[in-house]
Parts: sequence; structure tokens; C-alpha cells
Amino acid sequence: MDSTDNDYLAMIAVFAVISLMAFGGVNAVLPEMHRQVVDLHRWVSDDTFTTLFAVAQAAPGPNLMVITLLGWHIGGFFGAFVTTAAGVVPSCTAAYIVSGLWMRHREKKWRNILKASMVPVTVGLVASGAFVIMITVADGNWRLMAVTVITALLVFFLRIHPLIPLVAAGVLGYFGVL
Amino acid sequence: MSETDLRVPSLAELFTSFASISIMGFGGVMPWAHWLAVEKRRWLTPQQFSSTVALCQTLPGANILNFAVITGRRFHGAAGAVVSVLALMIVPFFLVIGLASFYAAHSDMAGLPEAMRGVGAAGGGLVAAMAAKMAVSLDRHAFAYGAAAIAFIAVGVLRVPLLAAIFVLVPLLALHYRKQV
Repeated sequence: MDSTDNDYLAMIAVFAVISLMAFGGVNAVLPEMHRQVVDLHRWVSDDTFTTLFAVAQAAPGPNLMVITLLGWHIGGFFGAFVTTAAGVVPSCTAAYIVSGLWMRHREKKWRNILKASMVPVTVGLVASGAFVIMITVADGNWRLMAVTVITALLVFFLRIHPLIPLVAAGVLGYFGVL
Repeated sequence: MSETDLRVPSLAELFTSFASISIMGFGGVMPWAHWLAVEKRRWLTPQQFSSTVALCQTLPGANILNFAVITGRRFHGAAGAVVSVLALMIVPFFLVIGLASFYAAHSDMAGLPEAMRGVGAAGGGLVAAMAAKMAVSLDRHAFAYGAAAIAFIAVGVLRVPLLAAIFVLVPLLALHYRKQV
């Protein structure tokens, strides 16, 4: 896919804003990322988004690597570099600035009010990320939805190693069970 | 472990340490960061680690990146933060592109797309389990659970833009918690 300079500027803007909104980590902004890159800008199809998310999940590393892959898909290595930098630099800069202020205002009341207010919203946002992944990946296939639900139950209640359901689901998919 | 047992890492040690844990975590590097910074290298006490993670969670962006920024800064200022973040990103960057290239070259291989869909579906389950673990640690107030549920329905089901949801919900909660905290 050919990408113009305007596309790169738009990509930088989109991923920088998403990076700064990612309270609760990158999983919390998956719905927004999907809305931006699939619905609004149409940089990738629904199918490609799902595939890139799955590849990023299958690779080790910080869970924002889906941003790298979106950039790679849109504009090769340069695209990957652009989206990764756009996704990393703003939030890291914010972390650098805020951590200084945060330590200085450790005892202040506003800090604790803000913290208490952000946590429940974060939980809801992460859950919505999971929901959007399930709906997008399954695309109406109830067996794939069952994989999402069963994985969540096993990891939450039995505390099994996260790698086990990932590998098991990959194997089941490979042999056409899903 | 007391603070006197702690050691200060060099810049090179920050780089090699973060680079080595970057490729260990599947679905999250944070457990490895704990193992590295608290148990193996003794950079931080468990309490320092916990309070750093709490701060990371209230900041936007990937928690592990924020952890790298704050920990790198603690020992070597801005240079430490930059080195730690670069170390965390550099190997996964090439690894994930390599994996995606492999997948693109072999996507006509029977079963591979179905396998990736399976992995994606399970990945969604990992995120759901994390949300559940976070929900368990919420304050035992109907109010907190209600707010989480509203955020979930608004953003996950109704697809309200995230920023709008945050700017409406967080101030409303702040009004509530103003009297509690």
C-alpha cells in the first residue's frame, strides 16, 4: 500500500493521541485503535487488524507491539518505526514529567482523589478491550468466542500460565477445530 | 530486604537487563520486571516496586514502558529513562516484524490463518482475565463497580470515543471520591 506524507502525519497524530489516552495500558485503547485505523481512516481491514493483533499476541514483548505491526502493514519498516515512535514517545515523556510531579506531591489530597477516580474507569476500559477483541476475532463464530471465554476463566480462576491457552488455541485452530 | 541491601545499576546494566526481559513476557513483561528488579538484581525493595507499579498504572501508556522510564530515571536521570525504554523496545520491534513477515509469506499454508485466529481469541481471553483481576482489587464499593460497568458499556459495546468517556467519567468519580479519600 502506498502511503503519502499526509498519511504519516495522520498516523503520528492518531497513535500519539492513543498513546496518551492509554490509561490502563494499550489493551484499554484497542477499541479506540480499531475505531481509528479500521472505521475512520480505513488504513487496514477488519480482518487485517485481527490478524495483526493475533501476531502481536503471539510474539513476546510489551503488549503495544500491535502498534508496530499496524505501521509495518501500512508503510513497511519506515511505517513501523513511525507508529512505534508515535506510540511510545508521548506516553513516556508524560510518564517522565508526571512521575517527577507525583513524587513531589505524594501527600496531596488531589493526587489520591485522581488516583481513586481513574482506577475503576481503567478496569472498565480494559474489559471493553477484551470484549472488542472477542467480537472482532470471532466474527460470529461461537467456537472462537468460547476460546476467549474459556481462556479468561482458566487464567483468572486456575492461574494457569498464559502461554498454555495461546498455544492450545493455535493448535486447535491449525487442525481446523475452531 | 532493606534499602541498604540495594545496588545501583550502571547504564549498561539497565540496557542489558531491560533488553533481556523484553522478550520473555508473553502477554506481559511486568512479572519479569519484578523478578529482575527486586529478586535478581536488587535495584528496588518490594515496596518500592509496588509503589512504582501503582504509579505506572495511573499513567497512560504501556505499564512496562512507564516502569522503564521511572526506574531508569531513578538511577540515571533522563539518560537512564531513554536507555531503558530503547532496551525494552529494540528486540521485540524486529522480532514482531519478523513474525509478521513469516506469517505474510506463509498465510496460504493450510491452517495458519485459523491458528492465528485461535491465538487472537485466546489473547482476548488473557485481556479479560487481567480485567477480572483488576476488578477484584477495586474498592468494595458498588460505586466503583458501577463506574467500571459504565465505562465498559460505553466504550466496549456502544463504541463511544475513549477520550469522551474518560473526560465525563473521571470528573464525576472525582466529585464522589472528594469526600471519601
